[in-house]
Amino acid sequence: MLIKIDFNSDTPIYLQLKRQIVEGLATGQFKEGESLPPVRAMAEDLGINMHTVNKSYNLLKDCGMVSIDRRYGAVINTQGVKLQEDFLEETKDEIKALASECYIRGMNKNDFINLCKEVYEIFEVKKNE
Amino acid sequence: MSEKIFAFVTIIICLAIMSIMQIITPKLTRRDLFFGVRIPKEAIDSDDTKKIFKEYVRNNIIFGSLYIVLTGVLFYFVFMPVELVALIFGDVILVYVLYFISYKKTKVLKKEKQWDKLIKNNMVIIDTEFSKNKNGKLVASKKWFIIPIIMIIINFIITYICYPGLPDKIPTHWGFHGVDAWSAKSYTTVFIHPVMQCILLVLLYVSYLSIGMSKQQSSTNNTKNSLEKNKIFRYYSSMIMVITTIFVELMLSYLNYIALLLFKMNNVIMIVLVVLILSTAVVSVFIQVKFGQGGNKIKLKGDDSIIEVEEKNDDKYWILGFLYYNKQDPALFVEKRFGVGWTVNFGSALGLALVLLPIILLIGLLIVSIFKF
Repeated sequence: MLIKIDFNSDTPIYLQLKRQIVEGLATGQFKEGESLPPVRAMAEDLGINMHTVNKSYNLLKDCGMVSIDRRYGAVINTQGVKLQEDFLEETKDEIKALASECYIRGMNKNDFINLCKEVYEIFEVKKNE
Repeated sequence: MSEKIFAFVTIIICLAIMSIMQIITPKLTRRDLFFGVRIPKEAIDSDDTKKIFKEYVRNNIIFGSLYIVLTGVLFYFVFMPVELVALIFGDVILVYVLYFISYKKTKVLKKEKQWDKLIKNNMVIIDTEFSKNKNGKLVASKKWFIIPIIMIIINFIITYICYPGLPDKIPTHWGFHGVDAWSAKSYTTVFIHPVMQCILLVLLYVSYLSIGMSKQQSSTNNTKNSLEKNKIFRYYSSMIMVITTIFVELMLSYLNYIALLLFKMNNVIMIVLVVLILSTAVVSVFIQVKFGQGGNKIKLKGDDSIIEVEEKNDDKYWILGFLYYNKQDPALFVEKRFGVGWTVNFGSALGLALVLLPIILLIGLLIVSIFKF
């Protein structure tokens, strides 16, 4: 899977990395049981500090999306992932922030919903492939 | 006399080849890198860059030829091995100076035209599959190195067996007309050959490793394609590395057996060995010219000839455009900016050690050889 890091972005690198891996999971580019590249290899190829990659991998572990094995490194393991209360709260806040921006810019409700729909549809298509 | 002429011709050919390779090199680099400076898409093949290239070619032809004439003159008056080495080093320095002149011009041009503003993004795109496969499947199998390892072990054993039977004075240098230098037999003078083989094997193996380990580098506008090309480039480069190692170690083994007085120097065998090694050099140059740095000149099926660029702002990590120094980057090996092949990240302690080690070894061996011989 292709991972892109934008060094000019306001989003910290570890977060960009985590988000893309999560997206990769959602779009089926990472499969259950597949291992992520070793921390060192990932850090080398991206040209970033190994601590940054470690941080991303640990975040993913805390979300219950990967398990970290001493021999195989980070392995996709979504068994422990749940739709928790605090995650719902966070998501509500983020949608509020995002929706406010779209609303102010004149986007109507249906367009906003369609945008979300489009994204979800990509996930479902990939799941059924 | 004929030895002098032979050496002279060899040196001239080497110098000429070096100049030719230097002239071709700018055409082999990734297109968005010009004399070690990153340029935007708009600047590629522009009149300004073409001008710098033409001047570079002109400089190389003029100074390259002058240097060859200088060599000829020196040869006419003096002829000692030390001069030969100094001449090669001198040419290396000349080549770097000529590169540096063009590098400077390009940097000035980039500032003048404000090309910095045209390189809008600073990002990197990688393929996780590639990251996982580095070191294993991207290069020729490391099992090939068993061949030279076995050769060296056999050499050590045979050297150990032959040692007692050797005369007190053993030949240590061969010229055209046979042996022209002898030394007192000692463990140093005899075992130096297999030891050199070991050291050389280590250096060649590290070079081989660097091909598999080096940082993934792909274009940001045609990532999948540039990675495909890069895989081909790495594979063939590693294959040539392996074959060169085997042939060189074979030649050194043969020389060792001659030194142990087991064989007599057979001109036919020597010529065959030299030809084998020269052909690997020729094939290596062919790969460089045909594939370009990182494989950027390979034409894949259905390639839409997009000009591949890396939208990155990393000039600051490249000292003089050819020394990579980035402490934040854990990568040990990266692609050269000017030239074909890989170089070390001087910001990493291991990288620095890898570069200094052969140099220290070389100096050490020189000192040892001066004192012992």
